[in-house]
Amino acid sequence: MDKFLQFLVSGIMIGGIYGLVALGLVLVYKSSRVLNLAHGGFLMMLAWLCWSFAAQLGLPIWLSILLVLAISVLAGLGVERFILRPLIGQPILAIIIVTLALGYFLEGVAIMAWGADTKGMPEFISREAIWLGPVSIAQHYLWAFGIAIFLFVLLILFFRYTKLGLGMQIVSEDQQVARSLGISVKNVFAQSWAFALVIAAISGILYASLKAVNNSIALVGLTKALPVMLLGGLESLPGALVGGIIVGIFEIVGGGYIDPLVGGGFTDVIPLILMLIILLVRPYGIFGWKRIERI
Amino acid sequence: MLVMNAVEVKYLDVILVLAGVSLEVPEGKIVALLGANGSGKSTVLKAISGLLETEEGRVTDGSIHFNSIRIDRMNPEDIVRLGIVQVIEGRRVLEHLTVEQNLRGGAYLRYGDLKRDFDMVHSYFPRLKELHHATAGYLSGGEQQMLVLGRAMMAHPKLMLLDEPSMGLAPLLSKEIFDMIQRFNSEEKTAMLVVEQNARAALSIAEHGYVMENGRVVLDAPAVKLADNPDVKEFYLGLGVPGQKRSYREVKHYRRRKRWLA
Repeated sequence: MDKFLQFLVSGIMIGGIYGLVALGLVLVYKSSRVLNLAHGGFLMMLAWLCWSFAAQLGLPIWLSILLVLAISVLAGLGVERFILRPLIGQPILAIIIVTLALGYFLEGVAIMAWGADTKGMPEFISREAIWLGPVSIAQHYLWAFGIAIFLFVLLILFFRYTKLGLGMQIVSEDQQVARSLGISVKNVFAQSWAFALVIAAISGILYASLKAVNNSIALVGLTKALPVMLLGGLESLPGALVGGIIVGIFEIVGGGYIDPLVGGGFTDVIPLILMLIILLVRPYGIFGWKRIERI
Repeated sequence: MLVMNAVEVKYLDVILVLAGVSLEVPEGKIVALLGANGSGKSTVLKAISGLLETEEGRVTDGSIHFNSIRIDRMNPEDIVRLGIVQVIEGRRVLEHLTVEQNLRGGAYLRYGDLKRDFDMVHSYFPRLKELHHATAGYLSGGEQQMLVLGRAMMAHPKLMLLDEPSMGLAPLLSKEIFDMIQRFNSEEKTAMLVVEQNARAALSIAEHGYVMENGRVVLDAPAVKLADNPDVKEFYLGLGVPGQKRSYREVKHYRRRKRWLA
């Protein structure tokens, strides 16, 4: 029983991070209908940049983080200006393929700049474990989870109560109607991407500090965040959080019990199995927008 | 207030849809724009509101002026800022958002408390008050049409462009919509350009009317004169000689061809 509780709590903690990563994907999808396949690449790139500032250039960790956040805002605006805008009016699949290419490009640049090794992110949160009854949680997991929840609440409130949040939802519903209401679609895209990349920076740095700074972070964007996004619903912010926690729980609990039986490796497959099941049983996800059709 | 001068519009640089359209909408008046399907009526509205660029269309000749400001080269967002709002045809509600969010979208460029604006819209369309938190996509056709009109009203426009407001609606509901349009015009003094297939209803609320065919304006007269025009009566109002049964054997196109362009 204790083992189960331990797995459960660990699953919830890591699930919060997965949810945060998925949040970046949902933000971009919600406003522009683009599935950003470069999200993992950005996660990895921004984590590497943070490590580079802190470990290679020796800047204090908080300054490195701030610099990376500033860079991510610029990167988001840059993506809208140089990648999305030339492709306005083209089929959505073309734009998605371009993000795929961008992801590969980022991975290539990372290997050129920092090689293929694994490094450790300089510590900014203590790694000591604290005990909650029979369960031990490493402090930095708890902090990461807390930051994820905080950002979630912030963003959900933003979407519901601010004008810009409403503008993003309107743009994702119907671009022509948005323009007819005076909403600048270009500005909304730029702002959504900037938001999404800031989230990518935060979740990338958090993930790298929990695990390691490594090119495999790029895979997290697809193999973990995509099942979370599908489970929660492509357009749903609360869905990303709930989906993340569910995927985290299944992954750690399932892996914890099955890995010893099969010699390891099953943990990574679980989110993908979940994705298959979701697509078969309830493709809209838990909170996704259903297609409304008038007959 | 609005002056269109010999406007030519092409889609994708090769498809000529408007071949020199000139029309005027005076301040505070309702103007009707009639014509068969495909005559270019929606394109006229989109040229004014700037939404042509969302459909790969461009004004290639002529000019459009709104209160002496040239608008045919402007972004749709800036044109809305000037006070011109188009209600796109086909009841384009924001389906997954609530009625309230749709209305807030209409007031996007305005600031401050929207309570008075909600009350105004509810005074025209009481049904929307009950539906304030309903999901827009599940509303009936008539309710959706009320919603898109209400959305336009929220912006307090100086000029409203209405594209087929009665399309697909039951006759009673259609009458209600036209009554509300006329009331909004008389109370808020908003000028309106109404594109309609329902010529009778449109001419009953308009001061002036234009008839279009194949991208050109072919008739231009005060609404009462248009309603009395025998050609308009036969081709748009469905009236034959009173007292006589319409024989469909007689309705052969080559017998009485209307060639305004000849």
